[in-house]
Amino acid sequence: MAAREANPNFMNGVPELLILRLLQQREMYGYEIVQAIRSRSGDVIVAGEGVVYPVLHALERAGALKSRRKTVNGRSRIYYSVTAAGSRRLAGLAETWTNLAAAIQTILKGGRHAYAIR
Amino acid sequence: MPTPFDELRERLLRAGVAPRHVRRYLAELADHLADLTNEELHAGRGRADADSAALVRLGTMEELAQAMISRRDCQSWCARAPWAMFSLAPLFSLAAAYFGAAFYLWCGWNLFLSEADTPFGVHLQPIYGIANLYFQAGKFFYIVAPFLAGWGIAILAARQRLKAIWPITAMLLIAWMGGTAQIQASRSGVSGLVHIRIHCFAFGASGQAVFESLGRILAIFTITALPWVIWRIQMARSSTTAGPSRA
Repeated sequence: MAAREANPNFMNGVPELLILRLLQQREMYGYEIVQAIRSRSGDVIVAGEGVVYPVLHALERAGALKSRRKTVNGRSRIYYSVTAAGSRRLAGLAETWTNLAAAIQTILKGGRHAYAIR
Repeated sequence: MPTPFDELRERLLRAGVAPRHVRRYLAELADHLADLTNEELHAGRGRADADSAALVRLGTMEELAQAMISRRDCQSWCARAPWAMFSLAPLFSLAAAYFGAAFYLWCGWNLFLSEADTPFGVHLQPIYGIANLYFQAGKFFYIVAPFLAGWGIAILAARQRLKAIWPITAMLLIAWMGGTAQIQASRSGVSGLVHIRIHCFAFGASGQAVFESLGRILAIFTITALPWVIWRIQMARSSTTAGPSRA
């Protein structure tokens, strides 16, 4: 039987996944990102809005995002966009979460999923 | 007047988050807060209600602080390895400065006093003009190097809100190294090659030499530590008068 990696924290990677997915469509600044997450999740995912910035900074340092300062309507803002490395990271995270969500759904319905949780 | 993020700034810096990350984080939070306040105002709230609703939506200070503090890659080197930043780094930087001063002296000796056995003391031909300016500049750099190193440490410690033990340790080491540093220059009689040596940390053999070294150590330590001590006192006073600014 093949050894499988444990998933110590189900919420690990969720903020990164959502941010990368949103920014893949277009560049945004922090406030826009948070509002997009709120509206697209139907207000299900709600947290202190300011906590998005440490995640953005970490993704930028990891090379998944790049930022640039842009002045719009007289206000200078930091806009974030996804890099090629960020797109690859998004693909990996999305696959993991798709499998995880499918596995959880199967367990909730009482069945057995084809793939174990990775 | 305290801003909504003064307390957060202090907390992040004390937790070891690098000042550049703190600056950017707070700037983005301030922008975000302005956007939230505008949104609440457009929704029909009054100014005071909009301000407080925006602060609630932004997150509690605990949430905002923990989100940044938990990122270890945002920690400064002063927080990650203070023993290196405040013991090894100042000594190496002062040693590098003294090495530069010795090299500068060696160049000047060869350039302006190529016949002299030593660049120090009274020479047969008095030094004027550019040569005099050159050696005075070198002497000035040699004297101020420990002060610059000490003040650099003070700035680092102040920016990171470090406990007193680290900057004081660093300033004592710098004062000891700077107060006991001695440059010796001589020319080999046979080959004519010049030799420059720098001795540090050793006190002189005579009582007067020890006394002079201790005096220099005390002077360097006092002058480098004084601005930092004054800053600490002012910070302590302002924190007691301002009180907490962000719930």
